[in-house]
Amino acid sequence: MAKQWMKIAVLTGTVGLTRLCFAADVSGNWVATIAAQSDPQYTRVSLKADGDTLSGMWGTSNINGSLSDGKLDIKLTDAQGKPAGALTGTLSGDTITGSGTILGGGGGRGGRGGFGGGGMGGGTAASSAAGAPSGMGAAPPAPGSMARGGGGGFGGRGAPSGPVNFTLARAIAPPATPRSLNFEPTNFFATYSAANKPALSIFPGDVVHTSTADAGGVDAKGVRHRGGDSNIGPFFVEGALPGDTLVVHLLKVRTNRSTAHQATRINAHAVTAAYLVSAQYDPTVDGDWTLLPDRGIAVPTHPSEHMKNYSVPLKPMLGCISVAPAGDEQFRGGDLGPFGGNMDYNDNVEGTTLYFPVFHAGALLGMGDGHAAMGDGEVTGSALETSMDVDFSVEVIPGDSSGQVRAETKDYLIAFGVTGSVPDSIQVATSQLATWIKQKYKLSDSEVAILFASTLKYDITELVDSKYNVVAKVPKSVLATMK
Amino acid sequence: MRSIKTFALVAAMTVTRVCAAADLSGDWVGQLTGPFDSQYTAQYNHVTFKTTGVKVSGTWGAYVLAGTLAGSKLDLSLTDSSGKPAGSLTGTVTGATVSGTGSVVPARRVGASGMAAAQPPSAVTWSLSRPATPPSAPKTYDYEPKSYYGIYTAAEPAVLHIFPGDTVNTRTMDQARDAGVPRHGNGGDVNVGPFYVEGALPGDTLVVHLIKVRPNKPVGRQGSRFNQYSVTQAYQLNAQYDPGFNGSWNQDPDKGIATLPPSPGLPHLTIPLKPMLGCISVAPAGEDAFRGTDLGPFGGNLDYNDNAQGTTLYFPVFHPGALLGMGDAHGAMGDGEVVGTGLETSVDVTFTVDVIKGYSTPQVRAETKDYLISFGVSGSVPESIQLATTQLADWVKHDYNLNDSEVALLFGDVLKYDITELVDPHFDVVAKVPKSVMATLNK
Repeated sequence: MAKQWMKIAVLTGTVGLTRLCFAADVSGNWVATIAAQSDPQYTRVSLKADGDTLSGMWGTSNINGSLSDGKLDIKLTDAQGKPAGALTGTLSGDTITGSGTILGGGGGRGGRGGFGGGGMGGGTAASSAAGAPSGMGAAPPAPGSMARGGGGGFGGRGAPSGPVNFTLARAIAPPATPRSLNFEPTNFFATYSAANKPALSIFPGDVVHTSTADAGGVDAKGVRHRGGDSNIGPFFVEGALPGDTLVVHLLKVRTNRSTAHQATRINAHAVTAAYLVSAQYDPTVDGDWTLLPDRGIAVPTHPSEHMKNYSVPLKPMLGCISVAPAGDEQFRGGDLGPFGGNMDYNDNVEGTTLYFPVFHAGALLGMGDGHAAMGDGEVTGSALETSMDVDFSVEVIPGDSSGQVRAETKDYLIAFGVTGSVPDSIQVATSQLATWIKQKYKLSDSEVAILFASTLKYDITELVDSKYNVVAKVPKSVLATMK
Repeated sequence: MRSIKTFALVAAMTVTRVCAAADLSGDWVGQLTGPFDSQYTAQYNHVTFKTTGVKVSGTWGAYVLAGTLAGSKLDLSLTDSSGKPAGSLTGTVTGATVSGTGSVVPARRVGASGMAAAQPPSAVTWSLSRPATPPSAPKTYDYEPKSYYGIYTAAEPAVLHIFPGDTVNTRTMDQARDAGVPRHGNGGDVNVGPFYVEGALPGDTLVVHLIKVRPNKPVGRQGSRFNQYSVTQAYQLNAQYDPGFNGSWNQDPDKGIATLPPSPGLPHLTIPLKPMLGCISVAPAGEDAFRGTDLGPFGGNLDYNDNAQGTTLYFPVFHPGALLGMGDAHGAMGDGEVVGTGLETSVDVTFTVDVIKGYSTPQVRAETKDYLISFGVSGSVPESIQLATTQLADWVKHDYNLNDSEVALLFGDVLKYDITELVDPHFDVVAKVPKSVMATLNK
């Protein structure tokens, strides 16, 4: 459809009926990129042309103005009708560039965010995002060609107030039907960073069939790639903008080879110093596993006498799953944070859905570090490390971003809390979950407190990596009774 | 050789005092009291005597004893498990008791490392008395509480003496809200008991089977404000609590559910009832005394939501009789008790006890249908994680004959943690392993 319009525009433009066709041409969904001193900011824009008259939405602000002879001249008003800015620009091809002023949080998202203990993101940006018209949100608007590399956090101060330079580009339309994509990874990245070049662009609804290597980089065929908790990807998710939530459905997470390896010494954070000092480890316990997916179990390959009949249930999980961290930040593969990464949660399994705050256009999803099974806290510093076949699909929720990663299993709504200490992680996880539940179910502070006091569960997921990870969760069976 | 024979012969011919010597055989409770000890800090041990003529052999706690009984005069020397001298005692038999003086290498302090050097012997007075004789068949008691206590201490007088195997039917109170019962002690989280378990001595493990834990009133009250340890400061500052919020749950034990009085956002909130005992304890070590809300190696306000019907608890024993108490029932409770309360209620409780002699771990352990469980109570969550993991590792190594590598592998595969208590004077984390996986191990 868009192509047809362009053809007509080109045709009519050449015969001189410029005003009409330019005006009609701009109706639809756009993404504004606003240059900022640090990170660029993004705003979803919808335009409706009626002759020279232009209306629509700029973030949460209403647009009133005109587009005449390729010259844009609009005024913005907020929901209460107060002035929210004025912009002028020039249409050139399928891009409008210009400048002007935007007052207050005119709908822009991005900027610096504080991520530590705050739980959910800050108020201004959150409310502007939540208030975005759903019609805009339904269409994934971010063009794949949009400049990346700045991105920036969510949760701070909202859009800048004052003079701005902007570029408006057409939102990219998704394919008519979701695609099924086979992705054979050739490149493995071991640093979480927005600078990683996307391996594949995908749209919400697409299903990707792929595979991950183990934490050491060894794939199902025994080929060694880059290790260090390396991830496959990153996958550029069209339409995902900073401040959005990237939804990842893990449709399949299955072991794809018969071997796994696990370390056999308890980490210093899991036991007392006295235990650590007096422990006498047996070098013949080698941590080699044989995976028997048909029976749903793993058994030691060279069992000691006491473990001759020992078996553990297989519960294949992804130790690492991530989006690119905020701004120019870079973290090694073993690290974890609000962007996810090496979260090592033993319920990040087939059937689980994850929700990531998006820090950069396209989100830049990656995953790796499969474990055939893992106890809480990963107390030996590794689990049953192996490679995986993975199927996943993605969605984008415009706005609604939270401070850290969230998840949903068959039974629970889950919030992660990744910090430098277990007590902080408990508080961040609990606060993020409370804020999410309050918003989702419209509960008061007292209501969410008594709900948690009666049904909350915690999991200690990661004790032995660069940061600590605690999960807070509430049972969906109880949430189903509330309303 | 000849002289001993001669001595035996002489002794056998020398009248009635020989009978007294024969009477020493069997089990005793030994008490060692240093110059600065009270009855609560004295050492108590299981003592076993075997007499052969004038020769006495046996054990005094972990020590091996050897000596002679000449007339009413008893001379004993003690050696430790590695054969080193551990002390000597002399005393006199008077009727059914024996007492005297001597010097003994003191027992290790509670919580002392196994690597700590032994102390030199110190002067003691000592006595032996016979343990109580159990009934021919286990008894069942209906114990109606007349008092409740709010301080964990060995000074709390026992309300009932029971033997291993006995069953007690009783009930606990909800924060002193039951009518007609005088409150005893300061502070909340009061306990029923203490129950003196005959045969339990320091170094033993008290086993408590919770056979029944069932709410006996339809109300469970709960707070509706987060405690500061469970959420961030920013959350706490922004939270706008409703001072009139009605947190009185309606409990229906027959249906197994609790329902909240309707509020605008929660018109129908319904949760499964899972009645549990927030407090269950033995008397803490020595002269320690802690308020009812506190928790420690003695148990106390552990607030574990799996301390429910069907669960078995294992307590380290610090005093003769262990002095078991329980209270602070919750109709249900989320992990961490994040508002500072569960569904506070009163419950009917049925329990039985057992004693494992000569084995104990530093803190409380438990066992449910599905898990072997170790508690870690300390001043911080990270320490609690380490204590819980370490105690569970030591227990599993002991019971399943695993080495350090095997237990590490096991924990790396299947360990689970629960954060049970965030809001009381100490923190409590549980480490646990599934019994289904433990069943695949060869002991």
